[in-house]
This record gives sequence, structure tokens and C-alpha cells, in this order.
Amino acid sequence: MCYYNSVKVTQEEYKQLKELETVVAFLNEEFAIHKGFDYGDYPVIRPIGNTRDTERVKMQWGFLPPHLKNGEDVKRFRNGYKDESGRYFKPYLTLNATSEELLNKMYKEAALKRRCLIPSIGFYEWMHVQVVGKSGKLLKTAEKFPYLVRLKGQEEFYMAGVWQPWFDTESRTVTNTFSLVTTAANSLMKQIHNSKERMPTILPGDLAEAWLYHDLSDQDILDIANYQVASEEMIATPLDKDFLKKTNPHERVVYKGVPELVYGDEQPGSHENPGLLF
Amino acid sequence: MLTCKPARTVPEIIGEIFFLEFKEARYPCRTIKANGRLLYQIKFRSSYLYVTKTVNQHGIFFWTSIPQDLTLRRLVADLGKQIEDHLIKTACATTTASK
Repeated sequence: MCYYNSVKVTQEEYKQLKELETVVAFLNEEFAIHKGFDYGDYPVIRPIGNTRDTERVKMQWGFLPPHLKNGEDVKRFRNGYKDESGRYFKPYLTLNATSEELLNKMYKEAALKRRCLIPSIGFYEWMHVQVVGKSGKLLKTAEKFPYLVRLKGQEEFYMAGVWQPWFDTESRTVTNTFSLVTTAANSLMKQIHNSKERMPTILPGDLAEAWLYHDLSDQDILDIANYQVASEEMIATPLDKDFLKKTNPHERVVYKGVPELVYGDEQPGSHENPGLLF
Repeated sequence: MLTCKPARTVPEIIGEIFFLEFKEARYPCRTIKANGRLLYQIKFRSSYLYVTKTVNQHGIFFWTSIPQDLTLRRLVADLGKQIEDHLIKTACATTTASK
């Protein structure tokens, strides 16, 4: 006999209930929606040492360079700050690392030595649509419409990442942090993420394997980091603006006046007033 | 190819979402089949509570949260009863602890 909830259950029942705990841990991960600016933990895949085996470990989303000494440095780094003379230092946003700059700046060592994969079932991006106000003029602030972007026929896919262990000199603890690599948007993502025209570097199996295991040259790293998955391979679902609060956050909605997405090489433009919401 | 996705039974979502009530608020509940058993996922704002029906050594059924949390015992018993009522009402079925 074993105890579960302080009630005696049979050994077989206890075993099954303990197995369900593993399922629940998995479900909690599957149903979770990770918001970058929470700087929370996210499951990341990395090789185990120099082997061909991999492990899924949790890392903090938001790359922290080793020169940061403590929590206060991290706060300043992420939020920006003014020094004693009043000079303002801008915040560094390291949730994403652009492919073009991967070998130029703080990510170089990580790009050469610590590459990882970020598993995902989908990512969210917001289309910015100019709104016409009551006066008939365009308002300064665009209205934002969220989309869930997935890969057709693929339950899970991999995005390129680089990771960095960060040592807090005060607490004397190490936190593994990572940044998600982004590339130029394909034709579909140009329509959705029309404010920045970027998208995650989503890697097919062979490139994911090379990114994780191979001894890559600088050029190889840039080539893979710049890889663009074709828009035909993606599927985008428009979501409710408050989708995070919804019972079913991935329920498709229809917005009147928002341009219809065009898949493939065809560029949007055949629509009247593309990007204009009435 | 990569072999990084650990082997595991993929849980299956069954049926439609239904609602449970607690302290005058309604919470969505979804049925999930995993390892041959039924788990009920109840969404409380941004977190989930999982409950299932189990049986003690004397063959008496009771509801438990997964993982176990003694502080939720009464809540889980209440929610479990509501789940049973819902199943009886909508599907003329009831729950069992075994497979």
C-alpha cells in the first residue's frame, strides 16, 4: 500500500497517479504561452557535452552577457537607466538576436560555441493596422491584431537560439539564458509583422542538426541564421485581441477591414487600401 | 534527424470544454485522456488544476488533484462532484477510477 493525498491506495494505483504527474508537467508546458518580457524560463534543447545526445533544459529567455555582475546590473541592462550625471542609457533587448548581427556583438562567442534549439508549436505576432479616426484622418497609433503562426503539418518545430550562462556575483548562482535568432520576414510574415518585418529563424531537420552539432564556420553560422522558412509552409490564424485571457486562446476570429493574408510569393497589394482599417 | 523529443504518451483532448462553478465564478474544464485515464484540466485564471478520480484500498472512490495537494482536498472533492454531475447530465455517463 502507498499513500496519495494521505489516503492509502494500492501500489498499482499509486504508480499510475505518479505517472499522471509526469503527464501534468508535460501538459503545463504544452498549454503555457511564454511571454518574452516576463523573462521567464523556457524549455531549450542543447547538446550534452560533445556528444550527439541532447537534453531539454529550462533557460531564462533574455540573453545576459557575462559582464553583468548582479541583479541590479541586469535590471539596468534590461530597463535602461540614468547615471549620476543624468545621461540616459538605453535598455538592451536581448530576447531576440538578429541573424545579421550574430557575429558582430555580444552574441559572437555564444554563436560560435553555444548554439541551441528552441522547440515551439507556434508563435504569436501582431499586425499593425492604421486606423481612420472620426475626423477621417489616420490615427497616430496603429491598431494591433494578433496572429498565431504555425508550420503546416508539423506539431512542433525548432527555432535557432544562442545561450549564455550568466554568473551572479552576489548570489553566486549561475542562470542559463538564451536569445532567439531572428531573420528577415518571408512574404507572409511581412504582412503580419509589418512593423518590423522579422520572424524567428525556423530550421528544418538537417539545418537544426547542423546548428546544434556541427563545427560551423562564421559563414555557415550566418547562412543558417538567415534561413527563411517559406511562407507556404506556414499557417497563420487571426486571434482575439485578448486571446491570452480566453478559454480557448487559439480560436480563430475574423476581423472586418483587416487585409486578408496572401500565402506564397504573391505580395499583398491587390487589396484596396492594404493595411488600412475602417 | 534530431532525436531530441523524449518519447512520451501524447495526451488526447476529449470533447468540448464545460464549466465548473466555485464561489460564484465559472471556470472552464477540459477532459484529457492520458495513460488510459481521464484527467480533468480546470483553468483558474493563468494556471491549471488537474484532477482525476481514484480509489482507495477499500475500493472507495475519491477525487484527487495531480500532483497531490492536501490543501485543495475540499475544492477538489467539490469540483469532482460537479464533473460527475456534468457527465451524468450530458452523456448519461459516470467516471471510474480504473482504465
